[in-house]
Amino acid sequence: MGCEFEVILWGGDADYLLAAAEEALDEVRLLEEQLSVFIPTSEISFINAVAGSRPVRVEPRLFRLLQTATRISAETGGAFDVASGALVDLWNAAEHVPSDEEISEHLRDSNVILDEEKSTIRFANPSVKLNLGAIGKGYAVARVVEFLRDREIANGLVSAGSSTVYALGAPPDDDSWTVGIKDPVRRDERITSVRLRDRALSTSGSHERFVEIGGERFSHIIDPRTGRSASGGLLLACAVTEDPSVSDALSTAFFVMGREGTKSYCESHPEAGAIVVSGGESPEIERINV
Amino acid sequence: MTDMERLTRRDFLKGSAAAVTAASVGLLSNAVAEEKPVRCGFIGVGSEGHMLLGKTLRIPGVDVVAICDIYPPHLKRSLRSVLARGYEDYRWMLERKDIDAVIIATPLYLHAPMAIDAMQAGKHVLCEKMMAHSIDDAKAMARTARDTKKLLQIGHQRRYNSLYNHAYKLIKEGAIGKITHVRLMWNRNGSWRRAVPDAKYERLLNWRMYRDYSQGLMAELGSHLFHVANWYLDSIPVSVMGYGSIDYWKDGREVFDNVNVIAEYPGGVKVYFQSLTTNQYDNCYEQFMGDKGTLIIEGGGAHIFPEPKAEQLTWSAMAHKEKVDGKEGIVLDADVTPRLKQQGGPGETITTGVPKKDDYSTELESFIACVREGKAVQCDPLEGLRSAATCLLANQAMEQGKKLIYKPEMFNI
Repeated sequence: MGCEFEVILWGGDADYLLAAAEEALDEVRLLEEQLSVFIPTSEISFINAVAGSRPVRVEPRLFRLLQTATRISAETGGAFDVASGALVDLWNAAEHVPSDEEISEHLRDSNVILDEEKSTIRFANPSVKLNLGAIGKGYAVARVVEFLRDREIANGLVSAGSSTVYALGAPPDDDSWTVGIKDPVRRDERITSVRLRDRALSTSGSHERFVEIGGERFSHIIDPRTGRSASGGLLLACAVTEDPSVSDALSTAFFVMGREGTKSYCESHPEAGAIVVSGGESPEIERINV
Repeated sequence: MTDMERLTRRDFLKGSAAAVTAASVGLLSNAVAEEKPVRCGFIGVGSEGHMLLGKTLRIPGVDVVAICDIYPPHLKRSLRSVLARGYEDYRWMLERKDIDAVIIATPLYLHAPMAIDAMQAGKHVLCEKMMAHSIDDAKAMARTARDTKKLLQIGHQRRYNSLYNHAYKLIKEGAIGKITHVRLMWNRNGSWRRAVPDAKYERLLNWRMYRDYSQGLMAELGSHLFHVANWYLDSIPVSVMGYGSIDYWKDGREVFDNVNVIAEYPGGVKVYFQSLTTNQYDNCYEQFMGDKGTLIIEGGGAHIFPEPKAEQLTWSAMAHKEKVDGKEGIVLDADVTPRLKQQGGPGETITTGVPKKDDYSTELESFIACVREGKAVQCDPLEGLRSAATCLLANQAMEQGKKLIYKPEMFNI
């Protein structure tokens, strides 16, 4: 997954919890082999190589993830798009700021055709590439949580890097976990915190990861609607939902959509919460449904 | 007998699914596969079986209709992936007439009874490695395959890896000369234990630790590498000796936590195998040492390191090279190297656009194709038996602390 996974568990036999955590992390390794665009034999790499020319049968749970991704893409007006891998590649490999012409090649509608009956995916044109970078970590967290619940482990924290955390149950002597959010400007300080129980929190920002072209820094988050570095005016966007896959995708969409777009989304989706941070040296924090 | 018998939506969808299939237009191979799907059942969906299930579900023209596991969390997890019927007892599953093939990924001691029952019930079988808990069991499986005329494929997936096949061809062409020594390494740093929620599940989940169910590191790791050694050397060992013991993980396990084996092959070729559970520095590799060069397959890649005195390989001047631990190696690529050899000169741009799949996927696809087309499998019972027999006598040699001689009949069905 290209990041550090952490599993913190409590309640019950320590040896059992340790062995379960190790097994859960084995699941993450298997998911990475399935989802990574950097592994030539991964399922995603195979789909990217073939789905432009013919339908490719997809492992059912990945298929359902892709369905979730396309639903979120529609709900966010394309601010999140799992099929924007070619744009990500374009910016990551760029030696100059990509031109309108270069970008327009990769801006297309209805890029991905999912056939539920056959569990297949096909791309509308061969240049489409999937990149699960903005949903895969959340999906892996969801699978780890599921693995732990199957083993009747009810309390813990599961996190993927600094981008997604799931609060399973609650810590000792409390009814929910307190999860801190780093200040995007003063990185060693906490800007706010969230109380979570059986919910996920994901964050997106450009303070840690960026693309540098000709000495200029661009957000690593690309707006799939414009093909350019996201400019929603936020320093940080956080999403809170029950499903870590969804929170992972939504935090990216919120960062791209900006404050007003995020508020609008949360008004029509009360099950989703958001924290958006904007401003400069003195960031402004707004909580929505949280 | 309790049968969970999770009746699924698939039964209700059968009619409409067939109609959609008939109307579909795709590549010929996909269309043919979908018209005549191979219907599979899985027995054992722990970590290995669940992984195989996920890859099987990607193959066009395969319907997974039944899944069996006696550990509820495993069964529950796999039934989230596919609309299939769940079973706790594999014999109920085998009674179904609509299953063409079963994939077995259960503890080692169950391979033989389950595979034999499955073949006698008319199913083709892909059985995970190592083939069986004993040589007699492996032979019984092989004889059942012969008598029932059912396919029995053993899960040594390297046999289906294009890089391993490419390296084999290069060895046969003399790229590293006469092989005199082989090093096989598979080291990890971990207890190998599974989470056990209740003591009653200890032997079920940690079966690898107990001799009645497992043959330890030789079976779980060594059998893969000795399968490659037997394959590349085109031979079977003559004798074996080694040290194995429980020195670090004193947690009630009965199988060695480290094994160190030397097997002698015809012509004096020595094959060393080491597997540790306390240090992963060397990780996993196969190293074939010849008088003209060394071939190392490691971490999904392979290199040839020519001996200084060896003549340059005709195609190597154009091959990609890179430094590994300070030594320059020729990078093997199953797609590029043969083209370089054909090309015989510079001037052409070499590209590799062939989509790749992992070797578990190619192994499963090959098995499904053999079932559909009635072809013989590549990693057949004889290959499985030879790898198993090699490892089983090595375990005995370590237990007895002496050199043991392989008898030819150990390797014959």
